[in-house]
Amino acid sequence: MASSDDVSSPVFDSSSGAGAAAAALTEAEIAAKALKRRRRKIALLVLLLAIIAYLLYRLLTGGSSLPGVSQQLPHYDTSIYGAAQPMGVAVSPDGDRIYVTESGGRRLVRVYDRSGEQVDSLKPGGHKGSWRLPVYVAVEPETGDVYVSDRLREDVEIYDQNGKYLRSLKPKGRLGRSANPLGLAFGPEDDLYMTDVNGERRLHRVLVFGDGQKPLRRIGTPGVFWFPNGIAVDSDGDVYVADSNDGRLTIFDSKGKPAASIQRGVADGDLGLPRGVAIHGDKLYVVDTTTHAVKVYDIGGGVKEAPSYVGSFGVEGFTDGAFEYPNGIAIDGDGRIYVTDRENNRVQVWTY
Amino acid sequence: MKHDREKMRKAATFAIGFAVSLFAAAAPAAADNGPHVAGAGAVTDSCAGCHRVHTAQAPHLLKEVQTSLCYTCHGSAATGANTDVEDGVGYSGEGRSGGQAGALRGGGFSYALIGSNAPSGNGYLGEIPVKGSGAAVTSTHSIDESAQTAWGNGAISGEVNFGKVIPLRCGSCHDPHGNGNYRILRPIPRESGTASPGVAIPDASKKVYTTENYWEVEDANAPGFISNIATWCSTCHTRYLATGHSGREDSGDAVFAFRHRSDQTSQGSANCIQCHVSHGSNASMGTYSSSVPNPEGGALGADSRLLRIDNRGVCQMCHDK
Repeated sequence: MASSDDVSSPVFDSSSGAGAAAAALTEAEIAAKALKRRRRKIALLVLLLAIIAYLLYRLLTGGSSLPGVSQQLPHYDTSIYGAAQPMGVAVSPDGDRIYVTESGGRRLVRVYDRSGEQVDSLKPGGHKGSWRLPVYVAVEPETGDVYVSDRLREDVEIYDQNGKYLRSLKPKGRLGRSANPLGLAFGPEDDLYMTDVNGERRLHRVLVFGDGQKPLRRIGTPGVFWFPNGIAVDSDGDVYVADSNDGRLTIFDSKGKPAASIQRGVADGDLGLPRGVAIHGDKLYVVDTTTHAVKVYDIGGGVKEAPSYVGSFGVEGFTDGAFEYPNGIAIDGDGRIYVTDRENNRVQVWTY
Repeated sequence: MKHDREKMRKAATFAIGFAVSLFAAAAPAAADNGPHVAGAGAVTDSCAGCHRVHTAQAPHLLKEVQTSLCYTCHGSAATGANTDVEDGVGYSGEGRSGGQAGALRGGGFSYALIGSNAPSGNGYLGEIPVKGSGAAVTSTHSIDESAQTAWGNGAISGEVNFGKVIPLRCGSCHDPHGNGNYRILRPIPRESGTASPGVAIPDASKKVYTTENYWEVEDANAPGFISNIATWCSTCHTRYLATGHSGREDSGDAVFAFRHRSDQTSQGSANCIQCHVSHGSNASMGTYSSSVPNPEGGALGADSRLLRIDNRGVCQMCHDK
């Protein structure tokens, strides 16, 4: 017969064995958990290393964003050659024709197709043989007519989409007298917006035209601009002007009232010598000539909010994706970005 | 275990930091500034438009080659100035009348609008028309830092000395920061050897930088211009500054013995810019004119010697023979 000790002993042994098992399980669990944690950390480290490797790859191959993440900046695609010291660029509404003004060589407005093949050049009509200097170009969205500002002729020459000269716009009337057109853009109502650099600084301004030779109105009080170059108008009729020699971009609401600006400076998003301006969707693109880059801003908040700096693309140099005094910019419906790269004698194409 | 965790944390922190730094490295360089210093204050940010303190790529701490910087505004198309020195064009802000682009008095470095084949009239009342289209220049002062001889630089000497070789650029003659001189001309052009304080040509409040008459060198808006311009040119071409007797009297110089007067003591008397332009000329040279060598004896050929009229039309304008 077993004594109570005997009875208790197995009980004790039993409980003692269970406690030991429990202790053994706890240690196993702890070890498993530790292993799990270590594996998780190793996995995290591997993931981080993979991200680093991917970023390195994107950096070296000119890419700029992660897959699945909304792309903020474009990457270099290709270049169009043939224009000497190109200044201005515009693209037809269907994206099939790219118009490029050249300030060197024969000073033509060359016409390229989407593949970069030159297919034509605009044919000046009424002033054959005279010296000309096409600078900025814009395409009328409805008709596809091409508007070219000529610095030497001090007018805007208008061509149909086949390159045939139609007429010239020589601003007239009290507002338009002695205007010297430079930057061109069309608004949502197809009004033509033109920067005017005639004479002294106090005379520099933006003029808005309907169908006639007389401006409908002006934007900018005397002295507010100093050699305004590029201009763009958003779908609400807000106007973005590269006030080049002041080193800033000024935004006016649809009534012509100053609303916001991007200033000259050395911080991220500040400007140096802004020239070309373009808008695509909620993004504003400004060519900063002396920074040799294009700066990108988010304007989704409208003109009441200052543009939010997204980043820039391009560096100074001669290789693919590097600029040497870029000037004009145009964007087609698919978001293909064309930038004139003046001293590299080419037009660069950037895509998302 | 704790030690391992610490190690892992450090590794993760480093990896994240490295990833972030990659993003930062991929970001573009900070913006810089644009054109001339205008009303620069004690904390101006304009200097960085053209200069880099530690990473400059050209002399004078310029961020890039000076000519390219200048041409950004003053080059063909002149999208930042009324003076297109590449094409020799002055735009409407330059005081001309008629609402059309005019010619720069100094011509251009690639093209010029000088009607060099069709002068009319005589003396200081003579006229040279402005061409409708630019013609390629046939001579220029250099602006790309290539070496050019400043003929006559240096004092009168019995020793043979043709002049000093100077690598010219825009900033050799002009002070881009502004100095109150006409056309921001430097009182002492770089490397000219002229003693301080140099030559002042006070600027005018109303700037008139162009003319439709290349012969009429007077400029009512800058009264000090004519009286000092020959002195200014001779800061480099020292021995070319000559008085009315210099054509008859030997200067004693081994090279520049007898010299045409150039000191402009009165209206109509000879002055450097009655015959020459400062930037570049499209004048053409004929058989005899082309055969005239430079002072050193080297052939110049079709080079127009910065003359404003074809061949030796500048002689005929005053000495109608």
